[in-house]
Amino acid sequence: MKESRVKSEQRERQVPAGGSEYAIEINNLTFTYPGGFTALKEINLKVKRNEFVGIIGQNGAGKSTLLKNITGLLKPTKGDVIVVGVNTKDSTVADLATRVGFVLQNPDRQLFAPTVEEEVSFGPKNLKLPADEIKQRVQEALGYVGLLEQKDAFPPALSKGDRAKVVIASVLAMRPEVIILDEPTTGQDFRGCHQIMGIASRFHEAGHTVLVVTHHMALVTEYTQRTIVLCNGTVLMDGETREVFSHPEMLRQTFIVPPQITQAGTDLKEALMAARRGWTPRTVLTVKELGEDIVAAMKP
Amino acid sequence: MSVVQYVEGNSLLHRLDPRAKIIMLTILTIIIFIVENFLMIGAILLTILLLWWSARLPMKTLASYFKFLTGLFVFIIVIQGLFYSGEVILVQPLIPRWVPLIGGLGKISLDGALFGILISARIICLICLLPLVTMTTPIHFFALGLTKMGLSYQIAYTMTTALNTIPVLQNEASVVMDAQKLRAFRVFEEGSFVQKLKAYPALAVPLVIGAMRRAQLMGVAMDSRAFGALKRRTYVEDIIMKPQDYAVLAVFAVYCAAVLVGNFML
Repeated sequence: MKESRVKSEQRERQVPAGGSEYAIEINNLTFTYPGGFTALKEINLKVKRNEFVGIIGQNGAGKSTLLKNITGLLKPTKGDVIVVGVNTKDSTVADLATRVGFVLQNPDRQLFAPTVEEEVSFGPKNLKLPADEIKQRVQEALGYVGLLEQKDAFPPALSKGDRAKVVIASVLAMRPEVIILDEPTTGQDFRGCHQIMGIASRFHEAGHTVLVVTHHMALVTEYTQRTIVLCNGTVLMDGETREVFSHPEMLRQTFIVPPQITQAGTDLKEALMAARRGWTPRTVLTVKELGEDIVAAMKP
Repeated sequence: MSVVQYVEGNSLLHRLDPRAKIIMLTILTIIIFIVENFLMIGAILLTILLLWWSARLPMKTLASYFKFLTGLFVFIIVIQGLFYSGEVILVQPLIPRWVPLIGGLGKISLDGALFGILISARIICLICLLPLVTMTTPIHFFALGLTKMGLSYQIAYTMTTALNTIPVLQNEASVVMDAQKLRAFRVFEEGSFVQKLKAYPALAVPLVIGAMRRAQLMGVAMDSRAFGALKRRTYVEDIIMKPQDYAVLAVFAVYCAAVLVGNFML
């Protein structure tokens, strides 16, 4: 807990005051389900515009509940969620949809149109846009995920990777400022995982804010800048991804193990530190970084 | 609005043998169709409501049935009134008699309206009756009861699976609705009744495909565990008819006789 406070204070200092800096502001959010289960307790989070954030935690930690509160599908029991300047309490899901796009878990449960094109145009049509604009947005979104050729296909007949991409395209067609992906890589093969994260990454590079919930730690370390660790409805850790994964002992509290490459890097770091005093390499997040560190270590 | 969710409890209804409950459910259902006397159908409805209360089943759910069905009841009563000929007219014809062909149509007769009320009362009785069993009996005990009464295990299993699937489908439907809301579809939040009605078919596609996928998977899982290999099954948890069950059945028999006598005598 101490860790999380230190981290957020650091970030606070980096960012000048003023609400417009933030894509998402969560103040004292508590959420209790109708059955009486409190899934989120006093959550405070601020996500800057154009951040790429990974949210991790065990099943039942409150990740999906948090995302649903951000998108307005659930309204806070206590506290406020402000998305791109709008309080979710004062807005409908449909109104928020143009600000924040949400890719739900399991694509199969959210594809309902007979063709890919119709699926993707469903959102823009609901926004009552002119026909040519709808067409343009569909083209653009399908181009973004690389599915232009499959536009006439029956979505459930596509491969699992492509079905996930259809859902992402249909959310992108809303042109949201923030995009949230809830376990987008579950059940995907290696290629699928990296294709999906690649799409998210490009969206981020284009100046948007991205939040990803995933159990794939290697994807978190490779793609995100910041990591938020949820545990039993509270924020256990929050900080730069490298910083968060530098504390495996804290992560272990919530049964999260850093990716193997990070563990290998930590072992190497210890070995190097033992061999050469005063040498403190960074926490390794990717294979490339480990390679660089080994090369650096071998230099006299 | 769920009719099949088991509600934890320790009332008399909860403790009864499922077989006793199934017998009473069946007989009472038949009686509801036989009874034509308003006093008696009222008595049955009152009994059912009292049982709801005594079993501590959620009154909210009960209220939601009434709320949900009000529209249907008004429709039934009006339609019956319009098309059931009777001496006493409640509402004079909407269309004057001098209009050719359709003149004189649109009158509501008292007999028709009463018949409509009777049908409505039967429907509400039936709808409130079923949860008295399903909400007080864990689903596997319900199936066990049916099997012990002679139904083949395969069929009982199919039934319970179907019942178990309802909440799954409800959950999936709400996910699809969420996905649609997230793409600025306003109908579920702000739309009119007709708009909502039009929006539902779109939900069917993912639901049916999902159900088919699940069924296929389940079939493989069941086959791999040799479902139906043994003709005679044994059970981990068994059910035994206790004196209490027979006593309740006896009281129920007297109750039914009273209702039927009341129906034909009054």
